[in-house]
Amino acid sequence: MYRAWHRALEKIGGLGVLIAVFLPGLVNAQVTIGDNTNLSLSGQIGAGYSGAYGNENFASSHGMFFTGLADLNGYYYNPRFLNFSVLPFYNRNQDNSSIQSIFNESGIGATVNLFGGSHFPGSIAYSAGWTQGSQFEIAGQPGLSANGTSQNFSVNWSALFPKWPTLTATFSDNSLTDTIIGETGTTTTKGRVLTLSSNYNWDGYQFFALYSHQNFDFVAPQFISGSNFETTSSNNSFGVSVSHPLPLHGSWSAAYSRFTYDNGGDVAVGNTGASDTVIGSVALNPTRRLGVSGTFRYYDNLFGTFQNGTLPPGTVPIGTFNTGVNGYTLNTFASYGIGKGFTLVGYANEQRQHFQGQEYTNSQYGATLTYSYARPLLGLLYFSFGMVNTAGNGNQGTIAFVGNLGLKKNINGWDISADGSYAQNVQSSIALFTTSNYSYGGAVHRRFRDDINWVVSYRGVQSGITQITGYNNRSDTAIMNITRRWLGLSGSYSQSNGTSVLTNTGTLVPTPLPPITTLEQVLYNGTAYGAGLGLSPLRGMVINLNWYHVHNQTNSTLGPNAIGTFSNNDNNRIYGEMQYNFRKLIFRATYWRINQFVSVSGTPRVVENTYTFSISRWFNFF
Amino acid sequence: MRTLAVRAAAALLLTLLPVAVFARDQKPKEVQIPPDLLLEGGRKLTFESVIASERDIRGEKSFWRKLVDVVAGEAVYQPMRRPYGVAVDSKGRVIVTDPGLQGVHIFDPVQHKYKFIERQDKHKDPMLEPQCIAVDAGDNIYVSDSKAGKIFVFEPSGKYKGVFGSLKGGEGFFKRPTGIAIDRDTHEIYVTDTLRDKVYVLDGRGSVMRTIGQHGNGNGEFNYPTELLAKNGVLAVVDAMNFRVQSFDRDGTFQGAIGSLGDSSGALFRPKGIGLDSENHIYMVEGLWGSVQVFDREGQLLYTFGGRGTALGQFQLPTGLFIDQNDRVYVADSYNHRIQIFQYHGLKAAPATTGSGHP
Repeated sequence: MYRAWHRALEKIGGLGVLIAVFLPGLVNAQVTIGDNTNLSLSGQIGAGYSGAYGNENFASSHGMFFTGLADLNGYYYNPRFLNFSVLPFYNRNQDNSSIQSIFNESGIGATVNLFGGSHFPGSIAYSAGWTQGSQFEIAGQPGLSANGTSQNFSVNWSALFPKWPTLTATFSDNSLTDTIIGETGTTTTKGRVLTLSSNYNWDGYQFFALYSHQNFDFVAPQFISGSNFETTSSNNSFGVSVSHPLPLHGSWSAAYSRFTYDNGGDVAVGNTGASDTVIGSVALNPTRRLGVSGTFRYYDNLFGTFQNGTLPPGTVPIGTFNTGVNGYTLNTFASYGIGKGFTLVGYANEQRQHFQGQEYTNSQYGATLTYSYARPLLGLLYFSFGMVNTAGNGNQGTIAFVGNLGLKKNINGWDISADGSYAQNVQSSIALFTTSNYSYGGAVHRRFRDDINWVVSYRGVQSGITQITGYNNRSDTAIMNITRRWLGLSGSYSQSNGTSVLTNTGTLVPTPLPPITTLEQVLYNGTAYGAGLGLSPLRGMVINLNWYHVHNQTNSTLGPNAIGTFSNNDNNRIYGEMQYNFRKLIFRATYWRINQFVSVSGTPRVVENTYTFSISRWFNFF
Repeated sequence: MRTLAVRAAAALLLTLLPVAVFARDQKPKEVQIPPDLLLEGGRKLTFESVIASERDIRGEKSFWRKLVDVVAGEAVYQPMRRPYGVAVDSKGRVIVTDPGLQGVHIFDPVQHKYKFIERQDKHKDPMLEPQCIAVDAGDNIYVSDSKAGKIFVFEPSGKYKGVFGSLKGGEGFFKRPTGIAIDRDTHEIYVTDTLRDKVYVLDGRGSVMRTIGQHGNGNGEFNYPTELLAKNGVLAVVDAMNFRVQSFDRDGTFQGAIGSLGDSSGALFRPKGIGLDSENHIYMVEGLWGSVQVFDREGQLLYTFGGRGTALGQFQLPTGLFIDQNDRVYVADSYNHRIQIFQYHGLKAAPATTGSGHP
């Protein structure tokens, strides 16, 4: 069936070339159908030739192809009442930073908006797409090349009556699939989310209520988890809150939320449970310079807290651990503006947790003096300096200096900026442990002659648990750019490594956790470097050349379920494109080469070279 | 799913042609040419043409250009965004400042050529907000930049020649230069510094020779002076917040003034560009009402044309005005993004100019 349509479309494509020649003289206006329907249509039709070849693991091919896309949009009666758009595309060529598709993308996008801009806003949206050569991202690691599909459907509706509580309802149904090039399995994610929320303002009291139900199904291929793996999860969130102003420019608020979850599938032990959280806070600003605040938080389930606070919504770690009991946190904070750029900050925090039969306590107090100075000629200087004392049964009596320092200055035409910071915090995702975080970086910018800009920058970031070695994350990034009118040259290097949690969407969340749970932690290590050249030698012409090399590795060497190396992959990619726009004609040539190896898939290295030449024309039909 | 996309694409392709043919029946809007304005003594003012982009000066299309248009589509021309000042050189080229695009358009209706000058990406002396414009006897182009506080000079070809008022460190000498005019006989350059309530007189190299005026509302004093006109040995200064036009001789001696505050015909409320035709009638752009008022040398209102609107012959926030030697009147219709051109048909024998008194 598909082949028949494809053949038919190729014939139509030939017709399209004829249309391309004769149509533009015919059309040029928006169309009104009947009294109330307004339509406008634009589109692009094109044809080209492509070929692909590679090593013995890749089947060569070549041939003609046709491309087309259209944008039909309009409204009925009034754009604020009902407006819509339909965007089908076939073999669309683009290098879109959001979709990151290289070429050969087919699909359809459609949106309908009802009552947009009125007191009864509602909208319906649907989109679907197929991508080739997109980036499969793993958090904390550089990406691999993948082919994928996506489908999204969503409905939004709100009732906004004056003096009545508002009601907003949203529903969405999304699905994604990704197949890593050179790997046999497919990653599939399906999610459905229903959310109801309401706001009400009564006599100065601001009430808010929220209900949310989510379902997620996820199939991880061998590449991700060592074996094909399927998880299903669902959760419900319910929350209410109220706030009210206080004298002295203050306010108080109270909130209660309950989170229930049910996770199953191929996990060793499914987990089901609920988490309740109560939060109360007070903030006062007695004078313009003085501000004080306090927050109390009680929770009865550490896993639920972790689920809510650390991981992306709807994800659960592939791994199990026992739930905890309860805990509370009391944070107090005060700041006083001394003047002339100086501010004094003081804080005191008290935490207590029960986890797996053991009680963890932590108290922390500290003070910081901050200063900020900025003058146009003398540059910018800011710093803060303080001391913090942290004590508890997990980490007795540590005292540390904390602070940050930054400066920005122009010296003889060189724009120089540098900054560094160090902080100590108490992580409470699972039990209480002190974490150290430091970051430092700098950038140099110089303008040569009148039109050459040169920028080089570096940043290093590290965070980890202070008391235990090996549980940390680190990343280093260096970037260089040179631009001169129609020419741009760039180079970059980055590396990251550390511990992380493997979630049910296949992403790694870098979050050093103490080794006191059965939670499996994954060691990751990734390096990426590359270079790019961009040219615009003629008006309407763009030439881009990009190359990068990516290597990443994951090991399960932490935790009781360690199985050694998960993956050891590398990806070399060269991409070049030339596009020349002459009025509504678009001439385009692309070349990309992927040399990719995915270790766990068991398939050998794939080398793929693809080139295309195409010509297309844009139309504004009406 | 892929089949669905192919079907959708095929269906759309097949519907394009009939829909396009249907759309062909949509007739383009008819453009209403404003009627001639018949004046006393057989004089009249007629609408000539409009320039909104390069498209309007391209002339008749040849067969090959038509063929290229069919195959590749019509060229997309950059429209003016916010034209402000306008001047015409000896070759009939219409030169327009466009603060919205931070550049200057050069339209050549005779040669059917177009050029756009800009310096916004220059590290040294970038042109930030080109305001008013003047052309000297050699067709060199002088542009005041109210934001940079400088005067930019370009050759007739549009090539950058230099800048007046650029201090060490990149600062501009002028606080807010707006109006600019050139005395073609003496080669002196007049520049209004609106915030200093002065008119600077520069020589051909940009050195300040003298100044005219100071803050106040007396004769020879200014309250936010803006546009200038130097013609027939007389300098006319739009004294915006005193709601009048003052005239001076070459030495800066006050000669007279016309205009008063008001919101009726003949009064000034938001005076903008100024021009002088071959009969020494003074044309004043009234920004608020979107009109041009024409006065005689004694300040008596002769007639007005324009009015607020988007149709041809109407204006939305008009600004600059220029009258060439053939009595063609060019009005920068700023918020309609165009230059409108009118032809004044005066008496053949214009009154002789004296070089003194009102312009």
